[in-house]
Amino acid sequence: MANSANTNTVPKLYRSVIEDVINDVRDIFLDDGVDEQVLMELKTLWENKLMQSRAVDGFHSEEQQLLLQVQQQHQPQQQQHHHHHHQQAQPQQTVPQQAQTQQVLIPASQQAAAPQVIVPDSKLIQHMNASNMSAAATAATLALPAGVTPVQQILTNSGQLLQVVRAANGAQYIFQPQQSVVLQQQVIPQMQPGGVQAPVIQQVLAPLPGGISPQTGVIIQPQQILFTGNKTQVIPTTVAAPTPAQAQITATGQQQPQPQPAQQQAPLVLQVDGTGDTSSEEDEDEEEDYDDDEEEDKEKDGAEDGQVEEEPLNSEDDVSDEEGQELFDTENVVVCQYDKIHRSKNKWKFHLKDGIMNLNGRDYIFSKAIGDAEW
Amino acid sequence: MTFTFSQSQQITPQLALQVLLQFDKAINSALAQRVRNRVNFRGSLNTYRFCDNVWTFVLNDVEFREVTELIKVDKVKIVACDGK
Repeated sequence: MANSANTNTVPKLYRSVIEDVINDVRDIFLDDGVDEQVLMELKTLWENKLMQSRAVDGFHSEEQQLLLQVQQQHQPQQQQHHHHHHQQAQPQQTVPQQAQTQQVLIPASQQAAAPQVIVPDSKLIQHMNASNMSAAATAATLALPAGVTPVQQILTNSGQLLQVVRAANGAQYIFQPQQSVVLQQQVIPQMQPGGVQAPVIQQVLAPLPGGISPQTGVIIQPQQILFTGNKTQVIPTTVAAPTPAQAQITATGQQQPQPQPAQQQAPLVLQVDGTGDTSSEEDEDEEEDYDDDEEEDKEKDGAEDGQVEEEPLNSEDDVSDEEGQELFDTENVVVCQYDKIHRSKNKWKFHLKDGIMNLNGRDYIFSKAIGDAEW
Repeated sequence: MTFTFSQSQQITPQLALQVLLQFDKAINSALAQRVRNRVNFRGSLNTYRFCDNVWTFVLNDVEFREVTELIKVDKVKIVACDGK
């Protein structure tokens, strides 16, 4: 189980962070007069996005997929007793205590499919069923209680109790204890394997809000938040960085004392000095000594010539890599803090800490990272 | 995601911001307290930038090595804030 350490710690950590955040903002929500239901929706949306992005496998919602699998194996009917063990579960995860959430399958009376359709969930379930069984394996044991009592609980990290009720027809409801209010409904398309679900989901995918994109690098906004020990900065790393990059690259590409935009658009803007100035000598620095008046007269003469000479010079100026390299947004990212950055000649040593990495679409976390590179 | 909620008028932008700030704190403390693993990496440095006490590196052909697994990427961007 080479991957066990990472695939185990990351989902657990994210789950606990989600729980903590949700609980901490609950008060703020209530102060603002926002309904608890919105909070639950936020949480579910969050989890769904995480599942969608495939940055982490084995997550909160995946237990729901286990429920689905269970349902697929059994006829859709009211189930009284159902016990399902995942043998694939890794040793650490068969212990359904502590940070692991424990989900229980509960039969509820059959109800009509709810009008609300939450798309990501459907897609997730389809996806998880079709491909990644090992992810499902990280969930805890499923068990059904005797009887129909809806007192099955998900024990989350923070001790918050949620109840999952699942109707035989695939509708899922999440209850909070002591409230019989249905907080959320998810409709899962018919319980048929793979092929049938796929076209349904593709159609449903279309009206996804614009903020959600399939690219992992873009979905999760919280991941884009940079933090320091003392202060927090919000840096959309894929967006903010390129703009200074561009500014710097244009700056270094220029060696002539001219307005940079002017020189960038060489074909469009007449170069009035520099190589285009016929009155100048080879050394461009000497231009600065000229009178303004002289320059003005010779500008017109030198203008057209300047264009021709300008282009080849300009295209040779740019030595740096294509800027797109820095702008590419599905690039692997590491967001962290640095302890020490050291350089000797061209040998760099990095001492980093407390970081989140997104490599090849997956999320990783470290408390320390040490690296070497040659420039 | 909280902005999606903002747009649909379910929560105010102000509240969305509060949630994000709370997330900052939570992830900060989670990373500091709950994560205890180490990673090594090696590669070649393509670019480096140090501005406003933030280091930004772009590395090529990097291997990230954790005890359990090895991850290879052609290109990675590292953004690091001051840890002190």
